[in-house]
Amino acid sequence: MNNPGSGHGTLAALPPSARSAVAQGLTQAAHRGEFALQVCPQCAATQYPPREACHRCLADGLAWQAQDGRGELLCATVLHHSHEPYFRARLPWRIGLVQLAAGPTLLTHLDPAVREAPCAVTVTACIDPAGRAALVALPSSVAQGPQAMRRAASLFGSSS
Amino acid sequence: MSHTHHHRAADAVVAVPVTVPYVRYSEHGAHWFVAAALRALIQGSRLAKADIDGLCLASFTLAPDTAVGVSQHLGLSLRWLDHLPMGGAAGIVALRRARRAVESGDATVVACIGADTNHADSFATTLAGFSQFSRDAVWPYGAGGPNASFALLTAHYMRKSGARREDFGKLCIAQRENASTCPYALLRQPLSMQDYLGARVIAEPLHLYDCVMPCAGAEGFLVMRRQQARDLGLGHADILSTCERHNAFAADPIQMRGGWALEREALFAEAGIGPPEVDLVQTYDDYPVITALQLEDLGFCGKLEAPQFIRDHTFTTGGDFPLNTSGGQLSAGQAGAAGGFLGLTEAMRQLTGKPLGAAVAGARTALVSGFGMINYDRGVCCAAAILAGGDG
Repeated sequence: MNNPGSGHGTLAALPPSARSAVAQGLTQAAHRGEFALQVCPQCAATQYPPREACHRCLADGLAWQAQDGRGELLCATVLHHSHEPYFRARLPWRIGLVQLAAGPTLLTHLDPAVREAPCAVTVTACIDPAGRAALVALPSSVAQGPQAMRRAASLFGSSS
Repeated sequence: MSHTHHHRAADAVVAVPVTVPYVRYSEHGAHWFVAAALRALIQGSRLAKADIDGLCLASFTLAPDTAVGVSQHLGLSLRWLDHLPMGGAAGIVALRRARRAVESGDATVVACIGADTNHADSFATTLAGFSQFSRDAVWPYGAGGPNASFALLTAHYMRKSGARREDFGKLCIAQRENASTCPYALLRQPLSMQDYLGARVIAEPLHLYDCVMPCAGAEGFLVMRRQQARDLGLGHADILSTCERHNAFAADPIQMRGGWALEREALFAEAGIGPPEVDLVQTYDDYPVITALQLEDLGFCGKLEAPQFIRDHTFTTGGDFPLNTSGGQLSAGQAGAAGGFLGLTEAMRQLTGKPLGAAVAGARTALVSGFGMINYDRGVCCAAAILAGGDG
């Protein structure tokens, strides 16, 4: 659907940066070099998207814990349209839904080497050009760690 | 018709379906569309404005207002007021709640309205502020808005069920044919399978005609006691049963079913009929994959059997399974929250013998379904209602 009021994509634009307060933990962990999600201190349920309380038992005090990121790509799409100028300038753009072995379903960017769904992937986090955490699914052969996070960042044209 | 009516004086019925004609873009605010719907409801019922003492409103573009602001804006004095943030499920939820309000005596006449404007830039603004999960976990991925979410659900459903693009195309083409006689549909020109398959890609596997077109407009109806509708000489439909279920099957890793699957048994039991006795169906159809899920979850075919069901049936007003008989949103356009009311107003018109376009011959019962709010990775709100032609 065309949206004439939103202007054209531009390489200078940034990805959306607005986040809720509770989602800042994902970015803070990525700055520390970790892909972390909230885990419930009472029932150990892993949460995503970020929450104020556990979706299973309603406990608060969810703690950000490092994840190995193992999961399965359930499905993927290639965007040929976006309302966001940053992505509009970079179409087509591939994203997918990943079910983490730890539980939750994540919407992620896809590394070009990730095959068609279904397939095993490793999800990691990097800092996107807007300075916020972005989740990226990599081939499952890539282990969680600094190398995976650097590879994820390269999706945005940065290798650091 | 195998069911028996148990009319009580307090029975609430639904009457006076109105549509404020859709336009692709409008300079008006959403309040204008609410007012236009109210004028049409008053004109159609011959009631006075002061006779409407209940309002149930759904809109995405009233901000910073809600139904509260609308009551003062439009000078309504109400003893029952509800604002429903349930998107495509709001029409049926409005009907469900208005019925209880009227039957309990908390309200006498409830106006149920879905109304939205569409400025050149308001759709993107609506999407950007849609939900906390969407802002945190969808919008930053370039996927803001339903196109990408439905592309993912469609890709997954096609892989699991064997659905082909031609199956979805058949639904879109039949609905376009239904729209051809419907004056309010924005898209009325014939759609061929070649047009459908060859349209530009939006988000694989979705192409242009899989995606609803946002627009401005409103839909509305009145809920009142049966005796009052009779006294006013209003054609009306009986509300045989309704259901709603939100955030069903939350543990499913991806949506392949909705809350209808949990509620359908009780829905049909209360109505006293089964799926074969439904004469026409109005699904929520912003993308055809969701029609497939509704056909399955509402019991017209088994899980993952919708592709074969689509191949085996015809969906035009004259077909063996009349579906979205005014064209659905895919041909009428999606006037924001009015999209969740479109199936109700069309079903009411068919059941009272006053369709805007082609009539479904002998239509006595209708099932209308709603689906709303892709809060993160799936639609959260599901609702359905079974209506029957009344004695009006």
